[in-house]
Order: sequence, then C-alpha cells, then structure tokens
Amino acid sequence: MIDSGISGSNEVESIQKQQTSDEPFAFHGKGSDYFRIWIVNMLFTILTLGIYSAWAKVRTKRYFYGNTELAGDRFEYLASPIAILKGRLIAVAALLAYSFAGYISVAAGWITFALLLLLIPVFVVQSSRFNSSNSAWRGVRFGFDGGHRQAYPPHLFWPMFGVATFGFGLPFAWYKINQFQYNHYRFGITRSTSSATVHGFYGIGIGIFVSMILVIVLAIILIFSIGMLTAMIGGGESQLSAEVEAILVVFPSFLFVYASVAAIYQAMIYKLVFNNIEIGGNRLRSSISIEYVFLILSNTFLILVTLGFFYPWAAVRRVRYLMANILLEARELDSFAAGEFDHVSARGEEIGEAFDLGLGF
Amino acid sequence: MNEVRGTWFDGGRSKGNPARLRWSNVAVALITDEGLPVSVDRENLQVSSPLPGAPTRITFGGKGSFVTGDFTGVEKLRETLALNPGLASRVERHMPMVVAAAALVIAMLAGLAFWGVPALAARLALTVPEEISAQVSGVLMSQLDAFLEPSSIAPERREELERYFLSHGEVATIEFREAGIFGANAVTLGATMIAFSDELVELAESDEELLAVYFHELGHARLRHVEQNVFRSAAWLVMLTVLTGDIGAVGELLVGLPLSVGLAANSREFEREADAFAVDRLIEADLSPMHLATILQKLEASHLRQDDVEDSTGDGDNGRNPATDSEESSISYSPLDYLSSHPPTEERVAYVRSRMAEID
Repeated sequence: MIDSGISGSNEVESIQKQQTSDEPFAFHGKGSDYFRIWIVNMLFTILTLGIYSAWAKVRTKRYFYGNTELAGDRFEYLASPIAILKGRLIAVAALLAYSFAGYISVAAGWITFALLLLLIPVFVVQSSRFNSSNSAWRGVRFGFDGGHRQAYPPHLFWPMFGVATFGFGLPFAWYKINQFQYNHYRFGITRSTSSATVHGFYGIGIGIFVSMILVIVLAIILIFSIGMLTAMIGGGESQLSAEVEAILVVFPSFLFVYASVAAIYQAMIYKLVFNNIEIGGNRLRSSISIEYVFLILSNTFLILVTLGFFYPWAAVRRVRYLMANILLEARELDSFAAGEFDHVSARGEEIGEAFDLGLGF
Repeated sequence: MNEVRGTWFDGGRSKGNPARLRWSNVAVALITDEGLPVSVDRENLQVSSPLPGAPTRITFGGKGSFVTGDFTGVEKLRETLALNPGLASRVERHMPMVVAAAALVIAMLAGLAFWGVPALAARLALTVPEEISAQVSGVLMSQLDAFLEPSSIAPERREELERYFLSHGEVATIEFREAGIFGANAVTLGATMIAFSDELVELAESDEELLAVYFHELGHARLRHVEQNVFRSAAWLVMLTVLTGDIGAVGELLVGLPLSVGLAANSREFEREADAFAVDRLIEADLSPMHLATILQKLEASHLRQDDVEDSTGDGDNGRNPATDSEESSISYSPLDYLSSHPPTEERVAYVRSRMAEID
C-alpha cells in the first residue's frame, strides 16, 4: 500500500481510532456438552451405515457456531443435511474409484489421480461457497465470490510450482491462496480484503523450516535418551525391546514432530491471515502465540492416551483458545446489507473433505 | 399467552431488534420493542433443534429469524406447539443414554473391525471375476518388479517345477524372480498368480517342500486373500472418512494406528487359513504335512542369517517372518505392520504337528 501523504494518512488513522471499539470473540462451548453430541452422532452414524453423518456434521457445526459470540451475537450454521449427504455420496464414490483404480492398471491409477488433482480448485471453490453461504451472523449470511477459473493458479499451479522448486516457491503459493480466498469472501454484500504480503508468508516459510529442524533434533534426542534408558534398565529380549521401542518411542516421536510442525504452521498462518483481514472498515486482530502449539501438543497426547475419547474436549479447548485470541476492531457492525445468494451445491465441500486423507495441499 | 424475549433479525441488515415472541394454542405473534409487529406465519414456523449453550433460531418461512437464549421459554413453546426436539437431542440429554451410546459405539466399532468388515470383504472378494483378478496380479507384479531381478534359475528347472505344481492345482501363472535382499520368499498376487523367489527354490531340499509352499500360496489364492485385503482397506478408508469427517489431520493419524494393527491381524489370520489349506492339500496328495513345517523352519533360519548380515533394516520380514509373505506388500501402512504380519513360526510348526497327530 502506498500512502498518499503523511499528514493525510495520519488524519485518516486518527479518525479510525476514534471510531473503533474492540469487540472480542468468545467461545462458550463445553467439552462435556460436545462429548454428548459427538458420541450420539457417532452412534447414529454407525447405526445408519454412514447416512446420518451429514446430520451429524450439521449438528456439530451448529453447536460450535452457536456457541461462538461476537459483539453480543452468536454465529449460525444453516446448511441442509440433505445437501451434505448428496456431496458425501459422490465423495465416497470418488474415494472408492480412487482406491480401486490403481489395482486395475497403473495407468488408470495415475489418470484418476490426475483427474482429482485437476478438480481440486473446483472443490476448493465449491467448499468455500458452501461453507460461507451457510454461515451467518446477525441474520446476514457470508459468501464467497471466487470463480472456478480464477482458482486454478492459486490452488493448482502455484502449489505445483512450490513443489517443483523444492519448497522454495511454497510460501509464494500460500500467498496466492491467501489473496484468492480472503479477497473473495464477503459478509452480506461487503467483500473482505487481505493486506498480507509475500514477505509475511516467506517469514512463515523460514519459521517452519527452522522449527522443523529444532523439533526433529528434539525428537532424536528424546529417542536416544529413551533408548539409553531402556538399555540401562535391562538388556532383556532384544526382539521384544525392538517392538516396544516401535510402539513407545518411534510412533510417538513421529506424531510429536508431525503435530508440532502442523501446530506451528497453523499458528503462524492464523496470525498472519487474521491480522490482515479487513471487512467494511472493521479489522481483525489476533494474539495467537506459542501457547497454541503447546495446546495442540497436549490435546494430541490426551487424545492418544484416551484412545480418542478426549477428542471432544480437545476440539473445544482449541476453539476456545482461538476465539479468546481474536479481536475485531469494529467501526460499524450494524449496517452490513445482505445479498441475494444462489443455491450452492455441497459437492465440492464434501469431496474436498473426503480427500483430505490422501492429498495434502 | 406465553412469551420469550430474544432478538429479531430481518435478514436484510446486520442489526438486531430486541423483540418478544408470544404464542397461545392458536396464534403466534412477534413484536419488536420499538412496537413494530412482524407478520409471522404459524404454518411455516420452524424451531431449530436444541443444542446446549447455543441459542434457538425460529424462522417463519421468510428471510428473517428470531433468536433467543431463553431455553425454558423455548421448551414451553415446543410443548404448546407439540414440536419434536429431535431424537439426537433427547438421547444427548440423558446421561445413562449417553453412557449406553458410548458403550454401543465401542462395541459396534469392534464388531465392524473384527467381523463386519472382514465378512463384507470375504463376500465381495468372491464376486471378483478371475479376469479382473488377473489384471490386479499384473499390476502388483509390475510394482514388485521394480525391486526384483529376472530369475536366474535354468528355464528347464522352472518348467519342471511349474508342471509339478500345476499337476496338484490349477493356478494360471507361476512366476520366478531373483529377490536379492528380500531373500527366500513366495507371494500370492491374486486368484491367478503365485511368484517364487530363486532363493526359496535354492533353499528347499526337495520339491515336496516347494509344493508345500505352493499349496500355502494356493490357499491365499483360492481364499481370495489379496482381493479381501483390497476390499478391507477400501472399507476402512470409507468408514474412517465418514466417522472422522471433522477430526482433522492429527486425528486421522491416530485412527491410522488401529487400522494398521487391524490389517496386520487380518494377515495373521490369513496365514493360518493358508497353512490349514496347505496341510489339507498335502494330505490329499499323500504327502506328509511335515514338509510345510520343514520349509517354514528353513525359511526362518535363512532370514535370521540374512538379518545378521544386514543388521536388520527393520522393514518387512523381521527375522521371525517366514518367507511366505503375501499380499500386504502393496497395502502396508505403518512401521507397526511388521509386528504381527505372520504368526510366529513355532506356532505354525506346532499346528502342522497337531495335524500330523490327527492322521496318525
């Protein structure tokens, strides 16, 4: 951004400062409440052979949105389970095609893979449209205006470029994705804009690289010290200790590295993205810190030792932390006007979700 | 006349209007605090299903919505208008039902894992036409070939073995490859293809021992173990995707753990089935089942020797594994797989002995 003149911009800033008020976000959900919803969702999903999963998803999202407050009012999730079910059926069909194609012939496997890759930008756009237009606050729906064709450079070309350049181009791809996404969201008819810069994303790239090395070194030290410890305690049966080591040391270390790096990446991305969003003169501010990484690590540990049963509390803790660390510098929240929205299919969203398992962009 | 307080959002602008919803047995009315009556249509009245902590959203068919956090008020409204809060909500509210749900979920997941998925896979595997199986075998063989060398056994010897095997069963294709570091091994690649490593052929001291291995692999082929594994992993993939829709990446990593342990357990059960099949066939052919035990022990010894040389790479056959490694070469997920892909050799030898005792 280029300032037109020092005095002019100061004037604008001071006017903005006078008018803004800090509106915090807050999450009121409770782990015990979400546990009830989660376990009943799981039960009904199994009993209906997966059909209920669409209703389960809506119920979960309604719970999280309905317990998220901004400036005195809660968010709303309004999607129809039937739309999600349709998307899910298509996603399962695609998932099955994807997992069988490789057995029929190597070529069929690659063709299916390439087709899915080519469709990713379409899924991303559909997903953004579906999710945003089914989210609302104060009775006004959000929306997403990005087109399918516009999505190809940020969601396919630039990530591939990032991979082809051995990761050096990846921060640029993140930047392009951010530009595409956060300049096309809207609340009612008001578009959001993002002022995040390429530098910011390269900063994250370097941060990730450094923290990845640190975390891996830490994990290696851990493995070695545990190995030394077990060797000291008793030689025992060598084969048994190799197995025990695999269960108790290698897998947790891998998980530790994976969860730490993922959490560090998320924390940095959230901070950069949130701190640069503006909508109708209102700006987001985020104070997410290293605490987030510790929170994710402790969540992961507790989910592991409870064989998954801590998940509802983990999800609630995570959202509560995020919401406690986001603030809206609000200027005017009463005059957003709703727009007319087209009907959006759930396909993209659900297919994108189903393939999260296999494709890691 | 009952009423609840809340906020009316007209759906046009992001400004709420404090309002009251009033109702009786016959009529519903909405009045904002500014005194503005909003026309509401009782026919189209919809009340969102209750969720703890989240406000209730009431709509009347139009763009606008009335939102209230007054739970007891809304309960009364539901009662008067005979609105159903939904089954999920009713179950969630009762602690004993929640506990029962948790127990049921655990029981059903275990049931699916140990019985449902295997039974479904076994049934589906039998429906796969042989041509498709042959195609799958070709793909798996070409993937394996990336790590293997062409056989260096004389073609006459190979033909002799092939004729010998086929005189005892009718699998279409028998392949030989030099396996290098993988050592003595045999694999089943579908209903119509079995591959032997040169090292295995050299390790055996009699053709009967090789026939025993062939019968074991034929068991995998006949029982459609490769096809079953393909269906099992697909079923797991779909199940986990549906169940963990919003757990996130770390959660998926966690559910991957029981998945790989489960697949390894599957494969142990397949090995036992194939051993039983091989013993039956050996008895049928008037040969001693001990040939199987002998070759299993030789395989174990050969892999232990090999491990000493290589100082155990920790992947695949970790010493104890006899060579009859089968389908999971293409479907392995985690370093934990090797823990249990085959039952221990002593157990398998003991099984053969017990069958011997039966005949005597």
